Amino acid sequence: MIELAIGIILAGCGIGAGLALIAGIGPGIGEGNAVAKACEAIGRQPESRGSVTSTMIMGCAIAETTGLYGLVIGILLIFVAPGIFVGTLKSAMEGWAAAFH
Amino acid sequence: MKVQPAVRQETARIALGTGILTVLMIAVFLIIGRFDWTVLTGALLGWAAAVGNFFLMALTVQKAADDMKPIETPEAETADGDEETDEDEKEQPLSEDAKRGKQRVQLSYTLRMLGLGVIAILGVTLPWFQSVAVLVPLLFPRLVIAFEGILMNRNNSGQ
Repeated sequence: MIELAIGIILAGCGIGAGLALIAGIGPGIGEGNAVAKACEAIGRQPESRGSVTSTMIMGCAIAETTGLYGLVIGILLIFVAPGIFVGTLKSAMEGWAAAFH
Repeated sequence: MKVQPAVRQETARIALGTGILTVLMIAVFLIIGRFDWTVLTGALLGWAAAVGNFFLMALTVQKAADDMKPIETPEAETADGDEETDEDEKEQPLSEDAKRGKQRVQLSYTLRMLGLGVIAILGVTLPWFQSVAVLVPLLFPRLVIAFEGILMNRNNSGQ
């Protein structure tokens, strides 16, 4: 019984981590598009290079955070969450066993 | 490659802001009684990874901007700039330099995420680093940018 529960927990953590890492796809595409348009703006108005570059750096940093959130959540789900969930489950099972016997 | 003043300035601001938030995070660890030397090493690794990631991203963006050659605008188009037609609003195909910049930024993003993933995995699995202290500073640059925006808006409205 407990092995089945642990298996479900591990599967849930793995599937959740995979879903969280999907969030890393969008920022890469969006960042590329934003930089391409900003490069064209610089090409049309080379005198605005400094201000466009500053704005572009900040925009890219903001866009990238979405991917970082996904990465952090995915790593927590793979490396940290299973230990916590399985530990909680085992202590709960021991508590129930002590209560019923 | 020479680092532009804009890149240096933004990186310095992000490094300072992230450093302040990291010190605050360490203070929280002290307050809740979970502080030990692994928190310090973890916070240092997380701070270095966050600032390094930002600097590499800024360098890539700078390289993409530097490689962009001026685009010649036809005289007729600039002369009739007031008369906007549907054809003007249509999306123009990207120039070769812009396409190259886009590909460079996408490649850089993939490699940086891979590097951050490796650092985060090392930080979580190795016993010398506290896992939360490694992961939380990675999210600080976004907070610093948000705080900067709020402060700038407040200063502008105060003037």
